[in-house]
Amino acid sequence: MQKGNEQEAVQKRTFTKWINSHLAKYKPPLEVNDLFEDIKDGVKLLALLEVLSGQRLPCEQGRQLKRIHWVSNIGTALKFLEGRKSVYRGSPIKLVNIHATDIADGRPSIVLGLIWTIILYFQIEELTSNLPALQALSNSNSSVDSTASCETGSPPMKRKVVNKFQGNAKKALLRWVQCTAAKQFGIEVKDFGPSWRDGVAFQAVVHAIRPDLVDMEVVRRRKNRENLEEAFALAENELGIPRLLDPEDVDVDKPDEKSIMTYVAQFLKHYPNPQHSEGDGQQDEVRFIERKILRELKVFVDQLERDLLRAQATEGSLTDKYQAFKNFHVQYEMKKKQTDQLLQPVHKEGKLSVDQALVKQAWDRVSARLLDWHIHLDKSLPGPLGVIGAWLHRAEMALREDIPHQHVHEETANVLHRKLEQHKVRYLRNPHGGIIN
Amino acid sequence: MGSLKALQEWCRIQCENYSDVEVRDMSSSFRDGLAFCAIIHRHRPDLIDFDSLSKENVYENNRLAFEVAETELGIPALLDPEDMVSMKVPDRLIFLPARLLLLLSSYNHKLQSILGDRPTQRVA
Repeated sequence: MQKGNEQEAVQKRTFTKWINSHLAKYKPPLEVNDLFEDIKDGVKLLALLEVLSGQRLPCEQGRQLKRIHWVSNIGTALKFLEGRKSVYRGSPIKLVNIHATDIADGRPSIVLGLIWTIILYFQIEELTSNLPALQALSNSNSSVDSTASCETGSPPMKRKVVNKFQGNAKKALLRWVQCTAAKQFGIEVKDFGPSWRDGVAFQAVVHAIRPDLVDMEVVRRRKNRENLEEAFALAENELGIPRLLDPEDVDVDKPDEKSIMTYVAQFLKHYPNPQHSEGDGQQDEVRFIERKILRELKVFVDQLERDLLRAQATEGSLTDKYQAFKNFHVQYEMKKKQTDQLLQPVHKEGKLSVDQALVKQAWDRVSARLLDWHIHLDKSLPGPLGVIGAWLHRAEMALREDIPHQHVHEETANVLHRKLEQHKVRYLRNPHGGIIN
Repeated sequence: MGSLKALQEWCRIQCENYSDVEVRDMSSSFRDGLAFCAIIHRHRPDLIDFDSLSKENVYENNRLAFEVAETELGIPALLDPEDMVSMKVPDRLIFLPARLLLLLSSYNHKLQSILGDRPTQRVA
């Protein structure tokens, strides 16, 4: 079970990231580093509300701000919020137990409560109220399940006076997840807590938006952290959804519900109708196959690396080792062409997909290892041969790094001159004018 | 003996008995590309038809040597036949014979011991 201040820490992290994703749009862009500190003067709070609402709000700014100005700013923000009407209730938002002075003091639980209210109102309520099939939820007075388009058999919802609007928005968001992602794979998503721990629900949501990105068969066999990490990475890199959660925070007995709701709401925000892109079916098919090929390539490269390590460690004559090296090099060169093609950037600005980046990482490791091995072997040749070997690799590398001609020649002359002078190389000659072989 | 002479001497010996080829230095002697071809042919006669080559085809001789070295022996060219044709012979042309020497030594025990730090042995 998560302790109080651990949960607080998780919420602080998530909410901060959420806030920053919006403050980045402010002119000039702003950033919150420590939420409890940065909120005290109310300046960034007002900026956040301006970004979310599109309205200008009066703000006391400047360097000489005193606490009295802080409280004034926060008061402006709270009054603004209380003036907005809840979409679900039709009546004003109630800020229970939130006073401007507490925010000016940076009291953690109060600050988090305020931010959550903002997220719930400006994100989750707004987004879920637009879902057509779920309009019935907000209007219904009795148990709400039968009118929804997908029936999961959950018990009728009790009416709770205090949290009704929150209950509706949360329920609507949950229904959205169940309808678009969970039902397809028989995944039970009952809440915004433990149901998300193993990462399968996140993967299902990603899959609902881009089926080519996730192989649900593989997902089921994986560990929690791996699924969570992959889902967050895919969402960030492929779907443009900024990361708000850390896998370590979700892979616990009771993940923080508010954090997860905040993050899931982002998916709804960016992709309200996941299954409506039927025209992309064929493209999805192609992308799915490409991903499969990349994964197989990664398996190959990983195995190559393992074999390489074993071969390097094996005892043997220099000649045997060269032979082994040559075999690996041949394999490497044969695969290189395919790899270069598959690692062509597919996104704008030359960015690689997650799968591509993984393959590139593994491939670069193998390349580096092969080169090191080659250098080592060449240096291990006896006497002056080893010297030539060492020099040659250095000179070739210098050439590749575009060091001017003159310099390379000087290195050539000086180094080789110096080093080989130390060795007396005797060349054998067959007295009858034959050739060494 | 010392300095570049070590490498040069080896190249010279490889090219003995090849008509039209004489290695007197590690620069202009290599210009017409025949020295490269001779060294390669000496050890892999299947890769180059040396008798069909002539001194005048500077571009073609070099191109052939670099291509064979790259595709058959896995030695990256780092040289352009154009460079050899122009009067300016690049200093880094010695990379290729150096690499060839290393390549040949790598699978030749005898060569390793002959060229390594061992007492002189006369080849009978």
